Amino acid sequence: MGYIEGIMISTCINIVCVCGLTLLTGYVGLFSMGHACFVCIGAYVSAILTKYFGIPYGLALILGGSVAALSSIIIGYPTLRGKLSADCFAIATLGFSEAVRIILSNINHPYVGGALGISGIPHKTGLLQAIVIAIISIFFIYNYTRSQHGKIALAIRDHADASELIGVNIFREKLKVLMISAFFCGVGGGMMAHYYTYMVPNTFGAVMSTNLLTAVVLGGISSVTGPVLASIVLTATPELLRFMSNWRLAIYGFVLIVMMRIRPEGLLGHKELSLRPLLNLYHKLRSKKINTTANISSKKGGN
Amino acid sequence: MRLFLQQLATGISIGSVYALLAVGYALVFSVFNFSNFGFGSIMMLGTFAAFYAIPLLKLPLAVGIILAMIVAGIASIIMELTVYRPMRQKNALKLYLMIAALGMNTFIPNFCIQIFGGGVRAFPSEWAKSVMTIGSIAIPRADILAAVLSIIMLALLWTFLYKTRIGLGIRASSFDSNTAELMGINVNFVAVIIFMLSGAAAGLAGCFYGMKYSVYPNMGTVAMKGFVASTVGGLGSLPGAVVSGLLLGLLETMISSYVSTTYRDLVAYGLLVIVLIFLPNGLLGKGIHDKL
Amino acid sequence: MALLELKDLSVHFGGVKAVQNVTFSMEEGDFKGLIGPNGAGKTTVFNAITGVVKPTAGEIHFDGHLLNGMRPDKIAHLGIARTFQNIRIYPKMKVHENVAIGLNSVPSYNILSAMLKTPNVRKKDKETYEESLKYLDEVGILEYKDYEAGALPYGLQRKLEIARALATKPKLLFLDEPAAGMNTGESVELISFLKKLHKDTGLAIVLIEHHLEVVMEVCKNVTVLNLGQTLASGTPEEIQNNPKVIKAYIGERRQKNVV
Repeated sequence: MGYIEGIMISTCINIVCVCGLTLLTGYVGLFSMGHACFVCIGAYVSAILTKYFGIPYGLALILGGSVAALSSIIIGYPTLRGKLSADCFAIATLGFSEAVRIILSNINHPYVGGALGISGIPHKTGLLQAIVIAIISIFFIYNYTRSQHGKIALAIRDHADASELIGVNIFREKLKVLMISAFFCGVGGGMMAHYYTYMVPNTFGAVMSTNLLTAVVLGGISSVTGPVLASIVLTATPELLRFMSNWRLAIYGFVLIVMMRIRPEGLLGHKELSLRPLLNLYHKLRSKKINTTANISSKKGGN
Repeated sequence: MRLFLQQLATGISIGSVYALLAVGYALVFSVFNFSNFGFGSIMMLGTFAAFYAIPLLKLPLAVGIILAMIVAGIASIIMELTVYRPMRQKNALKLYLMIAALGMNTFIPNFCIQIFGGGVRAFPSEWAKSVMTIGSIAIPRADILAAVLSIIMLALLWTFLYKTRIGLGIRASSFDSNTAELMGINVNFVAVIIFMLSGAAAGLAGCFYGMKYSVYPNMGTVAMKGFVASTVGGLGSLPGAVVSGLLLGLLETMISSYVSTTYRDLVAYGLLVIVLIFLPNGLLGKGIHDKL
Repeated sequence: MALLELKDLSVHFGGVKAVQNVTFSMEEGDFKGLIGPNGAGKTTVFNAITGVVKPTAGEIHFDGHLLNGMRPDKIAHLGIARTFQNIRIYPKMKVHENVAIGLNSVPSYNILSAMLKTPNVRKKDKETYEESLKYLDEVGILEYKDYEAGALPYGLQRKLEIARALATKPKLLFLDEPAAGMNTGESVELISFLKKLHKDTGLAIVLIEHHLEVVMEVCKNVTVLNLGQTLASGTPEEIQNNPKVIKAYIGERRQKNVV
């Protein structure tokens, strides 16, 4: 049972992080190759706060997320202004991710632990906490995307220049979404730290960033349920397909290429998961059944 | 003083690797306004080709390097023809192209790790490792080779772009590929040439990097230094790419030896942030004019 | 003081002098046309006024503000709106959502409220929806409110773009080739649409058009640009009979046949 519980908690952590990234990449359309760094920052900050300062779990998570959000300004301010291309932003996310990893690996302050990371973090992320936080995250992000803020994000993705001429402050909106996405990843990081109770800087590298991105790409842009579902699938499947774990990254890369070639909007692109198709199918089947019975009884009647 | 000259030599050598990578990246960016994030994998493929071919086929170093450039060039062309071009023809969002590029940069190295093993290997050239003494400084032959060949390659590239008709076509396409097409330039052909040259630069840079350090499936991550150098130099500007590549190599080496080695890789990132804040168009870049 | 005033506006891109010493003005409620052969600099003038390109020389005054170097979204909030030659509606959003962006280009509630979906948020969203319907009705596409914007036929997309521009509550509206791609019948419909729009809203409107019959019908005053410079300015009748204008459009040789 502990094994299944572990998978579920991992899934919830991924869902929280993916909620943030889907806003940035799926809605505003900014490509980040290094969001793992925000997970890292959130994890470290919250772990240090609970382990050495006795801050309560929930508050530590929020503070971790907030520090991650503030740190995103370092990338956001130079690269999201003006007409700088999206490539600058992507490269900066990569560089920042590496920078964070290197810095944390080399600080020898006892609180931070250098390359050996932090261990002995209080175990606070149980199944209940994980599920609750995941559900809250989905709720928040879903509402955000349906609000004026979310529509502006979509407007920026589709026609940034036209949006600016309608009165949208492009830089401020992009930075806003970046900070929110960093916040959610930071919270996810905090959850991670307090579940595994130890961590090293190398965990938060290109592999994690690619995992998050794959969930968003697979699940679908402009969708919240899509990436959430993809996240569940991607977290659960490696566990079940343990024997293929070595090939996992190569497979993810391949999936990204194939998705971009044949269905770049993702599996649930622009749509949310809805039970409507199933309901329609049910009604269709029901009406067919009624017709058939009517035919039989009319035949009988005509006898 | 001796230490300084030594570091200068090292800085120029690694700087030429960065310059080559930056130019390879800038070539593609200048025409397509697109970052080929799979560039690092191309560098790796070329280097691996040389790594296996040299001992297996008993090739001299020069031939091995040329083979690396050819393999990398072909890999680059394949990437363009199988993934990028079809997507561009469907008017895919730039975001999708970048994701596809990252997909390739994830798939290829990890696939190679499974096939070839992820271990670190030495480049198969004793000659390159040997050290030459000039005056009182000892410089590995590989460094001199890197600097010399980079200069030659860049000079050849410059001649090609500025003194030939095809080069003119490429430069026209880099300014405005739609108009270039209307003027009769075969943009598809230009694309293939660009990707081939870009790949060749990567293959060459990979060999030098392999000679100086080592060969391993994830070595493509060095390409990031090329991206940073190109961005710092001004996206799409080839002279800017060369200058920034050298500058980055020198800065890294100097800071690494005089300040601290652990933060060597941060130099690139710090340089990027500082330049973007104060010179958003890079050192030699020009502003991009929107055509509305 | 005029609502909009261009004084000796010049816009150079490197060696290309797209706009040279153009002077132009608009009073409230004016309906002026801006015409000229391709490459005359008309769209560049729009771009300079709306803040997309920076003027190289000269001044742009609007409603008492100097627009030179101002950010485009600030200029939009001062009261200038525009449509585009290649329509730029948001294809994946619904028709009414397109208009809603125009109404709320700056969100009217904060992030936390949005995430919590507070009653205030619900109320504001409802108000936005109802107000957007008014603009759809104004341009005559109310019945399409729930359609995906990209699915609309071209002509209706144009109207949607105008509705969205109107939703920003401008004082000055720039229409960039609204008749592009239309046949004669559609142009006639556009003429009456523009006349009604001007009458109902009382906005100052500047129209760039190549379909000269549209411009001559609806505009009270027409300015002609050629090669970035002002060639002539006056009523439609004056412009149509101006030899310099005819020469610019048709060319000198053929003028003999026209006469």
